[in-house]
Amino acid sequence: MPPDADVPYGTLDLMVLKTLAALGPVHGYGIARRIEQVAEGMLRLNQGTIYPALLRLEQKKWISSDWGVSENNRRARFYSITALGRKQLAAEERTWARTVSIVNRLLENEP
Amino acid sequence: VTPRVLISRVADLLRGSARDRRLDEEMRLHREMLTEEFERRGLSPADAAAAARREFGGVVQVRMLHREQRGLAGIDALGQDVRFAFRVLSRDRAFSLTAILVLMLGIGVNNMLFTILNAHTLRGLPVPDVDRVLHASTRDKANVVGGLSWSEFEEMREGVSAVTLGAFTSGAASLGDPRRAPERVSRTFATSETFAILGVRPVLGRVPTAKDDEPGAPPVVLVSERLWETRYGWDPGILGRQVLIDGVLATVIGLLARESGFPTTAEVWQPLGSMRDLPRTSRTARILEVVGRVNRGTDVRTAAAELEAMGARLATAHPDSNAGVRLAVVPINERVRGRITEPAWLAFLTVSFLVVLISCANVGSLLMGRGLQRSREMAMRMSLGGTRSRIVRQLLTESLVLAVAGALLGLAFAVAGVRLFRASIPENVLPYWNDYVADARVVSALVAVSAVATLVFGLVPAWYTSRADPTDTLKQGGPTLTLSRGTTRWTTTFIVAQLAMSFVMLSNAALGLRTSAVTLPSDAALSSEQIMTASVTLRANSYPDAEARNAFYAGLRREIVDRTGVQAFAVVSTLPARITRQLRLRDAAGAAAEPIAARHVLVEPDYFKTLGLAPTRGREFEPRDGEEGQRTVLLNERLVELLFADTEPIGQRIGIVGASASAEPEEWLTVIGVAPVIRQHPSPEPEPVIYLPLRSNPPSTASLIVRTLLPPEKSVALLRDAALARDATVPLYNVATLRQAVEDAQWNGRVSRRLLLALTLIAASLAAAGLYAVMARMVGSRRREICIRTAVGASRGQIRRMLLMQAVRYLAMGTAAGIACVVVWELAFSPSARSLATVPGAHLADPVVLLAIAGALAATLVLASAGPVRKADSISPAATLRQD
Repeated sequence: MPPDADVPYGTLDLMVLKTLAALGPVHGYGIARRIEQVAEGMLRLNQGTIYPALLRLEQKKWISSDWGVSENNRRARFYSITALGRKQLAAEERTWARTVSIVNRLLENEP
Repeated sequence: VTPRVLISRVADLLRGSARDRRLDEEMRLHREMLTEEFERRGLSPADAAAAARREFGGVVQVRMLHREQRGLAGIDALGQDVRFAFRVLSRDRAFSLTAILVLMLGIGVNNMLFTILNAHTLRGLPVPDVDRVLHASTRDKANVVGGLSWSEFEEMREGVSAVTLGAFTSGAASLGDPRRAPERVSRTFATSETFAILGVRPVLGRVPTAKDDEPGAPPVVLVSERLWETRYGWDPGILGRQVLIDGVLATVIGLLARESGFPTTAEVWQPLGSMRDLPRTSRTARILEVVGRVNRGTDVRTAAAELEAMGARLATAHPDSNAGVRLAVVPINERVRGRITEPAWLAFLTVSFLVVLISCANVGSLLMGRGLQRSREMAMRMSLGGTRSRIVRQLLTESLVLAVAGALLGLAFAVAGVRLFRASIPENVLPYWNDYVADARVVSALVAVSAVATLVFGLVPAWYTSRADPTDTLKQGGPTLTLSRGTTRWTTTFIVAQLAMSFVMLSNAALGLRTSAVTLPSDAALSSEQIMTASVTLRANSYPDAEARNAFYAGLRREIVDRTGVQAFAVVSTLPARITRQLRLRDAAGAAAEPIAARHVLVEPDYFKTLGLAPTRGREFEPRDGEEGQRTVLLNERLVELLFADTEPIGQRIGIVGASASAEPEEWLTVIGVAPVIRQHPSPEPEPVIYLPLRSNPPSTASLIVRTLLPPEKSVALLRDAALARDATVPLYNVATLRQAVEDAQWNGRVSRRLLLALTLIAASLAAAGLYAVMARMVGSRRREICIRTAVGASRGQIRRMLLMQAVRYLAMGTAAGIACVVVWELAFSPSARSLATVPGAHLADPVVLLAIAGALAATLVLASAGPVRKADSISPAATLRQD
């Protein structure tokens, strides 16, 4: 993967869900940071695009949010994954793994 | 989009500003945290802020994305489209107004006709669970429709298990009470089951039971609320009160709601068992209407089949009375309301949709023309990233805005039209349930028609308009879409067909107007408000023979003529404008080879004097006319023309012959006078009428006419008073001025004439709009040509002439096609056309009328072309060609 790839289409939701499942309740900045840390600079994320994604997930009741206090004592919105979201995450991880393995096999067979 | 998401989206839509504030707060915090992070890494505060902005991305974009995510899909875009459509449409007012008016006419006529159709056929009867109610009638060998006889009904009732049967018969009865004027009311005799079957429920009291229905049971009656109010003065003791009906005392057991009683709107209901003259033994006296409610658990079709099978069994069991008599069983809705598949209603439906279709085609034509003018706009939109589907959507939204405006105006038009239609029909002709209201079905039809119309007139122009290739169009400036040859030919055909149709309809309407405008000298007399009329019916048990009836009429005359204010009085068998039976006549001298059919009217002396008329020759009847040895008649002018064209009619003798022409008449009657022509038929043409003395054959039902100097209500009181004094059991009914009576008799022709005229004017307006649309489109598509012509020296007048020539071509083709259609029409329908054409010189293909129509169309054409031609004037060659 080139060092500054855009977020592949449709994967941001999955990344956010996974982050929330790993970290527990966290605010938008925390999510963005975590994704960038995991990507180790290989991903160029417009951090603002996280917010429409969060809204989308919330509308689907996969995550929930509440006001809380951040580490440096500021009011922040904290997001956490719901039971419905965990189920969805599991399903999407399976789909993702399957897709990746199919694509890999295709690419390996290429002469 | 799942429902869950939809709900939260709607919720978010509602708390939009709160959501915006929350997002802003989150984003601010996010960027502050980012800035702090960069500062920790050692950047200056300014650089850190810039880096944070970069890292975060566009705040505005995020806000937009967020908002889009919250809104309902497309609702914002739709709002935008609608707002834009309003702006575009209000810029070109002439176009928008024309389109909306055309749609109004199309949708309005459609909705008006549909409202009428709905009231007559589609809306069910006000009977609970009406689909399970059947109606049975008989068809004899000659396919004549009849009811059932009592014996047939009883046998069916015993032999059928799937259906509960009831029978009823309707007629008139006279309510007589001590010290009150008698009143004639409609009465239904019904078996006790009928009430439950038809859902007739009293508002007070009860319906008859099987016991009340047994022969010899004490008579009981249900009366309407109207009678309770007007006749019994809201008597609190109405239940149990004894009332006199046709001379028999009956106990009131129930009150019926004002709007009830179906399918007759009878005001008085009695058990069928108490009907004195019910023919219980005759198998062929088929006077009963039979209805049945299908029992629970049985399929309606099975039940109908069982009933019809029963009818077949009767035919084998009683061959002498029932052989060849078929039982026809249909759902009662179908029987009373008629079916939408009947030819008359299908024609109605066809016309209503044809009008919409024509208006759609015209609006579509208008939109095409506009599309040509807007090709630059479309190209610009496309080059700025508008997709074709987005542009089609925008154009369809404009069509939708037009359609909604047209539909709203159309609804108003339909409501007004229906109201006019209703007002043309006299009271009491239509039953109460035949209510022309815009119910849910009518409104749904309106919405559906408008929606489909939008697609019909909007889709094709939108498709064509959005076809523009942006590069070409913008480069060339002028419209690149010219109309294909096929489209042009189709347009020409369409406009010529519309003009031809207008021609036929206008010449028909002109003929209708000319024939209905024909006045007879007697018409003025008949519209007098000074003449009051009323009907009487003498019951056979009180007035069994001619002598008794003559005594009644003579006594009535004595009661009336001496009262103050009375100028003249007469009894007549049939009022003017009402249809009477025809007789066949021949003259003793044998001047006419064939017997001549004439309508006959029985009149008393002074009949013509009461009407304010006089015989044109000879004299009126005198009291002794009609006696033995004084067999005299009057003939009207039309009959005299037919029988005695060249000879003096007075003193001639004529006879009434039967069906066979050779038969000798029973007696010869002497002509003593020639009467003016008075209509005895709804049609405008004068018909032969023979007048006979009433006393020679006094009818049991007759009309009284009295000419007074009194105001109408005093005349009514006078008539009622006199009738009461003569015989307190004989009620007066149909009390009305002669003018009213004549108008009521002619309502059918009047209504159809009005409807025809309205449809004609609408068709002509649509054709005019169609012309306008085509002209506008032509100017649009020839813009560049006009520019070039102007640039190379064509004058404004020459351009105008060129464009008008096209219009004249349409007119010439339309007129030619129209005249051809009219001539073909007249030839094809010549019998009926000729029968209408008894007015001298009035026929469909009248050159003067055709010329006038052509002139009117030419004037319309000039008007329709004025706008587009002026538009062509304003085309500036310099500006247009510079854009190329």
